[in-house]
Order: sequence, then structure tokens, then C-alpha cells
Amino acid sequence: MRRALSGDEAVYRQLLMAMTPVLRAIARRAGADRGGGDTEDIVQDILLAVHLKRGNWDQSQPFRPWLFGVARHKIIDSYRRRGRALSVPLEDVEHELEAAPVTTTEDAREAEHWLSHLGERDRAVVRAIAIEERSTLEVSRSLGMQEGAVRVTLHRALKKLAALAGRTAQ
Amino acid sequence: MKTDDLINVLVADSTPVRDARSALLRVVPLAVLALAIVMGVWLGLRPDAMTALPAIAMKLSITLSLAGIALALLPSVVMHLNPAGRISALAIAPAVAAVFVAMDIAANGPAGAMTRLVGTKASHCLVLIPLLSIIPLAGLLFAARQGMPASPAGAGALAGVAAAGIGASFYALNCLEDSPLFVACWYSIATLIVTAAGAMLGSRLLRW
Repeated sequence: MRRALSGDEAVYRQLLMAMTPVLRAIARRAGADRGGGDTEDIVQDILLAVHLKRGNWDQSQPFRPWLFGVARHKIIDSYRRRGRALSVPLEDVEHELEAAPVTTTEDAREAEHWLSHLGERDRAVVRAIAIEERSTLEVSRSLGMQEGAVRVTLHRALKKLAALAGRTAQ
Repeated sequence: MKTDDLINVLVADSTPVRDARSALLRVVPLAVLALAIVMGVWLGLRPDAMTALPAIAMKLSITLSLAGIALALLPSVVMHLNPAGRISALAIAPAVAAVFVAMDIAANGPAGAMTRLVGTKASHCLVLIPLLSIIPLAGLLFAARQGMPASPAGAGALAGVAAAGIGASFYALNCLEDSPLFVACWYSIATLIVTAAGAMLGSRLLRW
């Protein structure tokens, strides 16, 4: 994460990819035991929070406890929104890490309903970058926007997605 | 959106990484400056400011210690799920007030204490301190939105305490009530009002 924060995109991608199956295992465990929720929504919610809040991580501290703290907060939050009480002890989360499966892509299902809440331009930018894997520069050319505007649009869209994830009780 | 697609988007987001501490550090001087301007054009210093310096110093030592301690605690509370620092340190400000109250009672005796406590301008104090706290509270809450507090309402309440400390420090420059009893009573109530407002706003604005 330290290298990712200093602007190394490849390392950041690797880190996010590596944490996803772990988060999926944690989320599924928390949901499977107590019969609730969409694992992939929670995983995406956690990834978004990690991304938007990563500046708050104290770099003199280890990253893992911070990540688990965010995951725990988001899982508890998702249960709270469903009107159920749940406590996820941190030790549980730590344990889960050891048993985490390496890959499980079969349930990386579509969550198109998220995007449908965004405005037209936000959606176009997010979709181009997410699905067509284009850079902000390419997107700015094809949409006829300044690259800076694409960046800002993208960041705002991410904040909106995070806010939406917090609101929808589904 | 698939999770892999989301990761593409996150990696592509190259806006600068932000943290709540630097956001808070930026917003405090702005809020103070804005309040100084508001004071300049609206309330102004009390007319007898030069002769009332000891009373002003008494009030500022209470309000500034409250503002300083709350502002020192705020970044950690806003940024970390397990904040460092002890919230109990906030008790230093009322302790300072208690010392002044004790000195007042010792010097002037308990007779007339009630009159000094009630003062003549309590309603001013209760209205103006919360009003002056609006600017710092708005600024602190806005900056705190970068954070990830374990308790949004708690973080909002602490922002309220800090904002009340700043607002009351400015109000103290205008306030004509010089009894520590008055300050201990009415400034505290005004602070509680702003703290409650901060908690309510925080529970909405600081959720993440």
C-alpha cells in the first residue's frame, strides 16, 4: 500500500486484486453464517471505502489491521442497514485470512443497478474505464472532455457510488 | 459492475490521495480568519477592552483550552477506527473554569454569587456563541468528511466542542460579563448546544 500510495498504479492494482478474494471470503463467512446479504456488493463496498479512505491509513502502522477494520465496519454497516444486529470480532476476521481461498471469480456477478443511479456522463466515464479498460486520457478524447474533467468526474462518481452503497438497504 | 471492473476504475482514479488531518489543518485557519472578519464587521471588541484585559484573559484561557484540546483530539478521532488520545483531556477546560470560580468565591464571598451567575446578558451568550460556532462547525465537518470515524456522531460532537471553543473565544472579546460564574454556567450551556448540533449533523454527514 505504501508503494501504491506513492502513485505506482501496477502495485495498486495488484494489491486490490490480492485483497479481493480475502474480502470475499470474510464477507461470505459473515453473511453465510447469518443468512444475509449479497457478498459481492459488500466486497465492492469495502474496496470503494479502502480506495476513498486510504489517505487516512497511518503509514507507520501495518496495513492489514487497517484493512480488516474497514472490512469489519462495512460488514457491520451492511447488517445494520438491514436492521439486524451483528458483531464481527476482529479475531474472526484475522482467522478468516488464513483460510481464504485464492480465487473465486464465479460469483463476481454484475451489479449494474449501481451504475444506473449515476448520471449519464458519470456512467459513460465509469463504464469506459471499468469495462473497456481505457485510460482517462483516451476517455477524455472520445467523450470530448478535458482529461482533468474526466478525472474529477471519475472521482465524484466513485464518491457517489460509495454514498449509494451506504443508502440502499438491499 | 463486476468487481474486476471496479478495480479498473479505482486504479484509474488519479486524483490526489486525501486525508482528514490535512483537510482539518487547512480548514481551521480559514474558519478563524472568517470569524475574525465577521467579528470586525459585526460585533467588534468590547469598548473597554483595554481595561478589561484580565477578564478577557480569564475567559480566553477557558475557551482556548477547550478549543485547543478538542482540535488536538479531532484528527485521530476522525481518521482512525481506534483513535489515540484521551477524550477525558477535554475536562481540563472545565477544570480551568472551576479554578476561576473558586477564586471568585474566595475573593467575593458566596453572597451575590447568584446575581453574578445570572448576569444580565445570558440570552446574548446563548444565541451568539452558537451563531459564531456555525462557521467553524461547518468547516470542521466538511473537512472531517475525508475521514472514517468509528462513531460519526461522536466525531461530530467533538467537532462541535472544538467549534464552540473557537466561537466562544471570539465571543469572549465582545462579552461584557466578567464573572467566572457567568462563564462557567452560560458558556457551558452554549457549548453543549453546539456539541449536540455537531453530534446530530455528524451522524448524518460523517457516515461512510
